[in-house]
Amino acid sequence: MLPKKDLILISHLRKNARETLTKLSRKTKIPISTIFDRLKEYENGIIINHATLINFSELGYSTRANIIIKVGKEQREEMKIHLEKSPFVNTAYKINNGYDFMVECIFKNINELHNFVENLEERFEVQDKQVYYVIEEIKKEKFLTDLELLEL
Amino acid sequence: MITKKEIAILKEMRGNARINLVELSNKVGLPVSTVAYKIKKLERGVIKKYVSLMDFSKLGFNIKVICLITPRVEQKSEIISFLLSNKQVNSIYKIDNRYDYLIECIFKTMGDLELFGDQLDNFVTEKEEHFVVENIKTERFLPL
Repeated sequence: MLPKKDLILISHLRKNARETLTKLSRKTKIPISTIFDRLKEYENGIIINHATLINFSELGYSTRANIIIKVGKEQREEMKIHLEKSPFVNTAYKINNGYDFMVECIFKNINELHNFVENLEERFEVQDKQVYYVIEEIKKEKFLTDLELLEL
Repeated sequence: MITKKEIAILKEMRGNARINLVELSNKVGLPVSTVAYKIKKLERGVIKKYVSLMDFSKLGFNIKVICLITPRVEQKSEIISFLLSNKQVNSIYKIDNRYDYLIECIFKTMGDLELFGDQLDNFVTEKEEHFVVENIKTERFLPL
């Protein structure tokens, strides 16, 4: 576990990844040069990337769905590569409890989603799947944005 | 209406929110001041937020769980307040098809997960849990 000061810095980056070094320094009371070094260090380990979260519906991508999929054991690796490469898949996890993958996908319309699922079923022996349309995003990437959690 | 140059800015910022204006200006072929103006414009609706995505397991939070839940009809608003204020809940989606919500939670220990599960049971009639075994990709969708 990182020292508390580092966790405070991380919580600020979780709240606003684009915060300037000057502001981060002011908020955390850590010198700018130290923050610069820490960031480089985190970027080579703890931080996957600094992401910009986009309201894709504003860009014409109005259909979003979370899909859980079960596939034959021998096709798991192949499907993983396929999902990783698919431009429609925003986020993908390997999961347990009766299913193998959970993917969050984004499409322009329901037809695109339908084609995506059909294509999956043609390429792979999909044993089970559930499609959950996203109606609303209520909370997004809030873990470790609150300093209170550091007490956990 | 969003322009091609604005899409180009979004594509550059999507996986690198900390990119500086000079670099961004060089990449998209627009003056720095125009890029700054366009980012401000995009932040009013298109850009939701900038967040550093973390490998939480490296911070000791080894357990990530996806829960599909259906709350009791009379407790729908209560469960939302509970989930919104709960610090272990990373994301919440309202969904259709059998369940009402999909939530993503992160825990340090199985004990923390169990405690959360017990609290959740007070609100739900149906619950399905899936442990995340591996992160394959995170927030990688790009607009065309």
